[in-house]
Amino acid sequence: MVAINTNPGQDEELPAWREKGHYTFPILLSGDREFADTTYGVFGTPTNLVLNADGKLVFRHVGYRPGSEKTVEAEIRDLLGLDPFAGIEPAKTNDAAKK
Amino acid sequence: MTRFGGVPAFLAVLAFDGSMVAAQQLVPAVRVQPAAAQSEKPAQTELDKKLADIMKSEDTPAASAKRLELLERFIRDNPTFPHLESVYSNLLMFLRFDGKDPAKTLAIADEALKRFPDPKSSVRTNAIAAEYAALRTRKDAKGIAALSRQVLARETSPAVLEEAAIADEANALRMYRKAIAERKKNPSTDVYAWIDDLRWSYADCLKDAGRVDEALKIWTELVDVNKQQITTLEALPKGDPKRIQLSRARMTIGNRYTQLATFFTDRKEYDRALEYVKLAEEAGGYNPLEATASYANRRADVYAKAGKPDLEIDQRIHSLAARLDPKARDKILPLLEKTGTTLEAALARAGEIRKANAVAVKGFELKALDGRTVTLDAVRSNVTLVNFFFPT
Repeated sequence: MVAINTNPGQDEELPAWREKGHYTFPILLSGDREFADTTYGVFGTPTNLVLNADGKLVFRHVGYRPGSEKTVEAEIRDLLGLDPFAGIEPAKTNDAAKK
Repeated sequence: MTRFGGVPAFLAVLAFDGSMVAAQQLVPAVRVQPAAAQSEKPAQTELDKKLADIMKSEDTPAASAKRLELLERFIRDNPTFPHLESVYSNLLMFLRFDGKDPAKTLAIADEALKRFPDPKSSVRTNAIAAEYAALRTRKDAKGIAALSRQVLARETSPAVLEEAAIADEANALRMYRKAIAERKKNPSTDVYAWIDDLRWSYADCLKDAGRVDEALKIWTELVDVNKQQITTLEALPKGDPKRIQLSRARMTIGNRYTQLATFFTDRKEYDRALEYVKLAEEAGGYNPLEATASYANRRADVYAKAGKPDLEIDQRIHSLAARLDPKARDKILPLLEKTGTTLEAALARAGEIRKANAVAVKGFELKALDGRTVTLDAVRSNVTLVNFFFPT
């Protein structure tokens, strides 16, 4: 896992930010604002790219909504050869609730 | 990292980012001042901060009730606050979603409408929407009709009229006609609501009233306008600032094709519905993998209505392949028996599709926080997560 800061204007805030969140992953500096967009078509944050063992892109996720982390987690589990949905029960539908 | 128990540590970044984004969206007019301005206007900055704190409250019922109380007190205590209009807007929005106190909602809405009589004031949209919601909670049909009469006589903002059209079905056609007429007086493209969007919704009401041919005529015309717009924007040289509008135009036409797909699905014209799903997909989203998931689902919805489970499950599997969303799996489960397959087989098929669709990405060479130079190849392993962020 690497995290790339897309806003060079905030580079100096990063050490404190890392400290606060106890993050241990490498934090990289994009150098210029256009980098993420022109290289990877990233137009908003947070954006997550999941690459497989061949280094190919299998998943791209933009923005955050409650539950987004479940999808990213499933993508990673799948690539690790694990059941992507382990422990996630099917959501109860209205029909099931009626029964 | 205890905040997101059960989720791996690195994923917490996303949640943190996301919750901040959500909080910012609620207070568009209230910004914390840059450091330089703080010393000049200390009182105002204090209030801005206080307001931002109130707005940040959690989404529990108790916290929401407290937020309503604090926002109202804020208005009473700070009658000269420069962004009072937006505080009213937020209070009215929260009262409307809370829905528990129609009397208070009506009183605050009335107060806001009197305090900001300018027909263009943005607070009027929220006030009118809150009034309709409160009257609906009270099941006060006469009140709704009376409010609509007032709105038609008094309001000239297309956004307010559109809100009223959505709230009062019986008067929707008249509301939209007035909104369109008012909007024609001001052709600026910077003002909400756009005339094409108003006309699209007007046609939707025509359809609901059984005037399907008229609706289709307007829709067809608006799609053509959109196509023309895209052609014009595409012809502009790269780097032209106007090209920014291109993605919005593509999104708009995509949404319109999607709505037409739903329309034809309802009319049981499934082939035509599928044609429109295809057009929507070709219009191009900005996130190809997300788009694949959502259009596959749309196709699956059409097949579901058409009673074709084999074709439906195939599309659901494509959707799952583009995005391993637990909800996508849930949609496959009820189809397994009908199609004589198993979840394992469906997941395996999704895996094959994923592998075939994986695309190569460019490498990078960037400076890390500790000064090292890091390349993508150096950090790559069995699975690599590249997270783009900015610190919040």
